[in-house]
Amino acid sequence: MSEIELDLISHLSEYKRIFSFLTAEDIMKKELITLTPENYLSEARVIMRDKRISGIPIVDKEGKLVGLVSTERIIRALEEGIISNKIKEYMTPREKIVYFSPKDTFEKIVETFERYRYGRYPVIDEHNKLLGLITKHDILRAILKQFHSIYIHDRRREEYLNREVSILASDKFIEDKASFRYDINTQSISEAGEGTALLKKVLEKRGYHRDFIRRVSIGTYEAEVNVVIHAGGKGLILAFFEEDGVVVFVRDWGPGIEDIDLAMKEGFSTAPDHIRELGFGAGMGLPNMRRAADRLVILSQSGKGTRVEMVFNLKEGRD
Amino acid sequence: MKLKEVMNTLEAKIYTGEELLEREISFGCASDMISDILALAKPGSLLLTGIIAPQIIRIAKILDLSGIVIVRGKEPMEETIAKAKEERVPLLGTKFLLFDACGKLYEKGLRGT
Ligand SMILES: Nc1ncnc2c1ncn2[C@@H]1O[C@H](COP(=O)(O)OP(=O)(O)OP(=O)(O)O)[C@@H](O)[C@H]1O
Ligand SMILES: [Mg+2]
Repeated sequence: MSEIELDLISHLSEYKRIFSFLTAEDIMKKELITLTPENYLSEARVIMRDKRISGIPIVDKEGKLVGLVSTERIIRALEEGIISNKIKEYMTPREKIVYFSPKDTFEKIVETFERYRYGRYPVIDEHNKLLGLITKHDILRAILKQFHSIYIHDRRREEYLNREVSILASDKFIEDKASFRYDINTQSISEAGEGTALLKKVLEKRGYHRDFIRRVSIGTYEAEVNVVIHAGGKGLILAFFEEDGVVVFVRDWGPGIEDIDLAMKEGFSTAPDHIRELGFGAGMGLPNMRRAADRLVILSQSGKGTRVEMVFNLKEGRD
Repeated sequence: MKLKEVMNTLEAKIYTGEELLEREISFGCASDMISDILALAKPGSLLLTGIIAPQIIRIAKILDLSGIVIVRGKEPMEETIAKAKEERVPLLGTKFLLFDACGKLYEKGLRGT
């Protein structure tokens, strides 16, 4: 790998948590060219040249992984004059291959890339059957595919990755840690905002400054109303009271936001007319959330619902 | 400006909040879009709006608004009046259009910021 590419991988490790929901089977390339130990090194060479690939997994009749042949090996075979020999004696044997299991996490994958610096890693199941292959290009492709569905705004960007509570942690983990919980379950607009009203009361009781409560309430209200208007009314509000501020997490099980960057634009709205008559649909909800919070993270995918995380930092002398 | 003066200036009727007419109004704010109100209204503002749905009372609570005036002679929904009573948010109504209502209050010294 060149310097630049290595740098890319170490850069990725900064985003380990953001993409923690990606697993080896999400990332791997599934359309594979394989050979068997009985094929010749010369055949591997032709395939690598014609298909421009840098390594070929070697499998047995049942599709189980038995080895790997890389371009480096082919180059050496050419130098040693053994290119017309069979693959079986010259491949990297199974026990020396660093591989992944389908459920291996993004974090583990990036760490493995950093540690071993091989070009490609097979993904195999518990019976040793070859399922796919992961190169750094596959990682990049998987990440780029996520970008339409993630939005991050951060006033103090450098601190983002170190926060304890995160939208990206598992649902169970954060639900257990929440100090406030409200289940949204209504399709009626006149009930939307109840969760926010309750949260506001709790914040008042805890003695937060008025301006701070206002920021939290505005952001939470907009997110809650979006769940009712755009996501079928089923959702969850969680709040975490931390030393340096409050984190609010709102998720729903609605249709998701197709293009988050578009949705973030002031004035963009898909609200139907009968909703607009009630005063909603200015397309200012998401921009208001961004303004109110110090950090806004939205994770959404078509058909998979939407998760919103807002961090409100207590500011010295202000709140 | 006191809420009482707002009422007189706008020749407004009062749906609820008679006991709060002495309340001091610090700012004014006008919009028909809820998200605009959330973005723009300062705490303690009087809101002039054409929104008649109960949602507007929730907004008043979230933003600590000092009162609501429904403009252009629209009648608030029953539910809105009930909610305003419950939450103790003064609710008034005027026949003036939004533009004219704002102008009259501005003339009397009320400002947006
Ligand atoms: N939870 C969600 N689920 C699905 N789509 C959403 C969700 N939240 C927002 N959207 C989409 O993003 C668009 C913009 O949202 P935003 O809150 O900024 O405006 P709005 O809700 O349409 O209007 P406003 O908030 O000003 O009343 C929405 O119209 C909708 O298409
Ligand atoms: Mg909205």
